[in-house]
Amino acid sequence: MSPERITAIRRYLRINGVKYYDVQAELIDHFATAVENAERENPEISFKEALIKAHRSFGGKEGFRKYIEAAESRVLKKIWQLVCGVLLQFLKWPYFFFTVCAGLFWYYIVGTTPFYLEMYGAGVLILLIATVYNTWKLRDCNFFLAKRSGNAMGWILYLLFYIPGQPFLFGNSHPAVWYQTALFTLLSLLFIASLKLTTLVKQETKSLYPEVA
Amino acid sequence: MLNNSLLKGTLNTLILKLLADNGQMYGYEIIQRIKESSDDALLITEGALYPALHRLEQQGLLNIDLRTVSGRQRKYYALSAKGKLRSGESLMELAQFLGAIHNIIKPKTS
Repeated sequence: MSPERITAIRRYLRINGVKYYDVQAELIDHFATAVENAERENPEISFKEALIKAHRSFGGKEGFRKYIEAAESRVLKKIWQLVCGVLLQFLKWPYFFFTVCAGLFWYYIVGTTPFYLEMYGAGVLILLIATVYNTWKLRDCNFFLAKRSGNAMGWILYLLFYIPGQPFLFGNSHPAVWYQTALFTLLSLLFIASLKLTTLVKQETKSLYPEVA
Repeated sequence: MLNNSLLKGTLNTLILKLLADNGQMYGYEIIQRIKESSDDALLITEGALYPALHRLEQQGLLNIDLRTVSGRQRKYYALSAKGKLRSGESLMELAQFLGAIHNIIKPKTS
């Protein structure tokens, strides 16, 4: 099939709500094959008619909605796999050394500095800025996986905003110090995970779609 | 054409069986094969097939191979080792299910 026709199919999919390249990839082949078959069966059929016929057999808008929903759940799962993969690395040597150092550092800070909540706030703010910057960088990105990776960091931020409101974190009791240390350490690890996520998503995209990445 | 709700619970098994028999297949090919093999009785919409394929892929039952065909990228699906095992189990379950349904619809006369 000619590149012009493939571009036309891509445009048709975009108009019908399938915006991202990684979601379109399989559909383009499907529609192109359907068009080729329709033309083989009926040489009189126009390209546009064949495309509409393929769309109808896909289940129209409802078919696209189901497809996009499935793609979304697949992409979210992939993002969490990547985030968890980075976080799990911190439990393995040599990264485990960093986790222990971060834990000791925060234990010392929480025990000796009265401004630890301000420090926590500053940490969350840095993470927020990094996430906003990431989202801004991806504003014209044509990949669903990359776009959603920004949202995943939003969820992590939500948790980091939510957790400090919990009463178990307040006070100078011994368990509270441990909770605070664990939380600050997790914040540090998440910050690194957020930085690594962008690179991992880029690598993933490059390996799957070398022609555009 | 048969009622599509009858097909819903068996779609995964049909996909696994087709891939077990044919090795590698792509989405459009699977739809056409099911349509032809059932003499147009089973018509699967693409909106149902692809999410099912992606679910099976997520479960680790399918392996993916991307190839460039006629200027576009084509995604071929094949059974993974886990998928091969699941395919056999799934077919047995389906055969038992169909046997049970058959017994209800056409009870043996004693």
